Amino acid sequence: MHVSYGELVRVVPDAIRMLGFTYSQADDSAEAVIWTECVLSAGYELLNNASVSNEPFRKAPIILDDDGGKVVVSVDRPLFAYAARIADLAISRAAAAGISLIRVIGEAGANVTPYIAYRVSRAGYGIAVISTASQEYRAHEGRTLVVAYPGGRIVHMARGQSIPCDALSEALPKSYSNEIKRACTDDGFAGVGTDGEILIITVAKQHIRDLPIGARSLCRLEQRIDVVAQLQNAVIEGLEVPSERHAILTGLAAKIRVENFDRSRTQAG
Amino acid sequence: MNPGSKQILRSDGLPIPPYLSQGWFDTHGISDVDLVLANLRSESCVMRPARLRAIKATPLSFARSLVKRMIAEKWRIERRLIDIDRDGVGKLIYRIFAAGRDFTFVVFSRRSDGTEHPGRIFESNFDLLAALFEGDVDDSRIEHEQQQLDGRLWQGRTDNSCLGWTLANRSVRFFNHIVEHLTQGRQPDKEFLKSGGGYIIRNAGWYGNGRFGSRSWKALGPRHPFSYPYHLDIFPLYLWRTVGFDIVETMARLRNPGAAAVLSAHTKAWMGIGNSSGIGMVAALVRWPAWMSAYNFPRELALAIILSQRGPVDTGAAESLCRLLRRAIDYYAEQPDSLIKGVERASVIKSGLEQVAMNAERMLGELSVGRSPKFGYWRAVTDFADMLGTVELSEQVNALLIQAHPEISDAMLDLFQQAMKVERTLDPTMDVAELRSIIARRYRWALEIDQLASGARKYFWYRSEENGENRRGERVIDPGEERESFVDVVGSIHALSADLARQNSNVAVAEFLLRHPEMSHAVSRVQLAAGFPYTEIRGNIIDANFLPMDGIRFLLSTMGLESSHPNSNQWVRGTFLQGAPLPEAIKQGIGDDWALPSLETQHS
Repeated sequence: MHVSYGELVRVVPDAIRMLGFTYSQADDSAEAVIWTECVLSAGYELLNNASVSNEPFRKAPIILDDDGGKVVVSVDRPLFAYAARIADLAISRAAAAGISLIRVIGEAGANVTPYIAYRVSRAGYGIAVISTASQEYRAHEGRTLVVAYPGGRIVHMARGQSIPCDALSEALPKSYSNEIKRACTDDGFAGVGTDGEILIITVAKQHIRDLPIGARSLCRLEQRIDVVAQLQNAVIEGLEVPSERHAILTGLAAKIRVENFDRSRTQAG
Repeated sequence: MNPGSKQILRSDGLPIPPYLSQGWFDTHGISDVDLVLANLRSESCVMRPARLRAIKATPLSFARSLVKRMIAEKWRIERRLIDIDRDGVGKLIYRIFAAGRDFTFVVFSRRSDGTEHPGRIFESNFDLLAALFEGDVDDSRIEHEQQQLDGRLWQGRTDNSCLGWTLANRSVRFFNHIVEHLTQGRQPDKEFLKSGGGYIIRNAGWYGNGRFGSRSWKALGPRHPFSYPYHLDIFPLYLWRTVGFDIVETMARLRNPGAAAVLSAHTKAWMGIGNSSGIGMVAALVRWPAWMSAYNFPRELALAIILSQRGPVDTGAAESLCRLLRRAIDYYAEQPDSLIKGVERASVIKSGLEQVAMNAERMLGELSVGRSPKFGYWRAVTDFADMLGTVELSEQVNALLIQAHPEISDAMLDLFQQAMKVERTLDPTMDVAELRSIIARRYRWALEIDQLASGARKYFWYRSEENGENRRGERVIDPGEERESFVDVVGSIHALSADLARQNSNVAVAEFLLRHPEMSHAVSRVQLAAGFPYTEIRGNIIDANFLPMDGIRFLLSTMGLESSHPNSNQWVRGTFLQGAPLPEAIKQGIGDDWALPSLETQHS
């Protein structure tokens, strides 16, 4: 069925609130979900994978380890609800130190990593996101690498393979060797060693030429996504989605509406 | 002072938005920038609910700027088909030609059951339903749309060629009165018409921008005739007004062929389109603080520029103001008094306008013999109006002052478009200390509100299962609090402030929000308020004493509603486009000076 971009903007935040998130989180994560649907046709899937919660608040992410440039964050599922916050953390750390490395553990949710890359690159940073889906989603998502340059226009993506570890080792400062080791799997390519982990390397513009998000690595990436064109197309033409998926979304969103009661009708005016 | 800098603050902390540059002032020949900025009214004045309630439509209002564009581009609205019976049941099709594009407006006119329908969103019984398409549409498409819109109201679907659906109802008393009189070959009774709101048809909503699968407004390119904010929402109102005239005249002709009258052009021009709005408008105002700023800043800047004029007075503008004041007096003389507490009576405003007009005319006479008020003519006019002590009078005079300076209001239209492009952003690199400092500077008014006071948290806003209609419940009585819509700015600022107090000053906002993701909206509002003025209603929206009509009337005036008559403190009726030129004038490019018409008096 045909669905308009404006329709999604209106419906998705309500649906996310009914997954148990606050008003603020719903708006933040609606951007991630809508972006993912417009660019990768995978936004509805993000919502479908999230279970409905009756809890008024989900747990906020927890910082497990932090030495300034390197941060380990534990995230309760679903990741899309925290994508904006994690991207902003990456931006803020890279703004302070020139480069930042964030390891996200919990639920990988690789489908939302392109949005994280986009949000960071839109703010004027370069970013490489390497993720390995948890066992639950391994078959579907596998290992994903996403790279984006400053500007938020293009996202490069590869699934099931990744950049050679050599490239990471050559490009990153030596102090990152442990993280590189962690990111490299036995086959000599960079993924993330542990299931359900994401490694986010964010780089301030002036340092980009020294880092792995250069042409040598990108040449192996299989998918070049023109974000601007994809978003523009979705806005102008709308989207075609299976009607049963849209029905789940609108059904979820409708739950925000309060049942009628005696005084209800008089409370509008 | 460099007004292009985001960091510019006036002594009272009012920020100047970054889209206002020194170049803008240079382009418009305004040299005394400091004086203009000093003359901007404070937020504690403008953003008080009681002031917002009183603000009137100006040439910057969306209905006015739409009609201005229609006239400038000589839009053509042509009726292609009217196929209705004696009761007005049937179909009408209009073709619209605007700025090189064409549109089709298809109307399905249902049988009226003879009762007044308030037009609430939960209803299914509407007298008129219509769809606006880009381009031409064939019969099969019209039939399909009728099935979806008329046959499956609230459940139907449309597609990208459709810009939106719209609903309306007959104002039964006035509709029937006019049909009966025209059928008898007579014009309707003027006194009877004046006793109502001045309309035949009452708008019951525009459902576009993606609703039911219609095209998103963002999809329209910058040169599109409806690219200006809200013009697409307002245009159907203009079309409904035209549809109303066509239906009553055709019904009369079918009932009395050869002897029925048509409405006089003056009566038609005087009539507008009715509108009713409820509390959802307040939620919309709160949701988009950047738009709130956009609704206010260009108007306030226009006023500040006018009040900052030094040197010889533009007597042409002064004469124009005096003429507009006289017109407004006649307009208010025909407006019914409101019985709602807090709404100033039309007769009181009229009386004040008479005094302001006499004073303005006297000073104009003195100008001709070389005497001029010490602080300028315009300031003398507004000071005199303020002295009379009615807020609505002051705001009506301010609106007329802007109308008397078309070159200044025209300059604001471009600025307004820039203001409306400001989007919600969040700077994750800002530290907690700076955020605290902005709150202390910009939200002291909110922190001073005692949330524990009796009634301070009485209400919550929610959407009903009845098609999502916005409603307001009482926390201690009504269900649904856990699903409340966000309107509690004061509460969110208090909560944010309390959370920030527990943070180290050098913590980045990004890290704070990672731990407190529920605060991102509040942080975003605060950061916006650092660089933009007039972003917040300075009141506690959920307080027992907050009157939703204050926000409703403000937003309706911003849209272009000329007269508003609250039915209660949370439901406002009024009339759009009263006096707007008819399609015949618009296609000739004439009729721009139309606001505040009188049924009895034809003003030049």
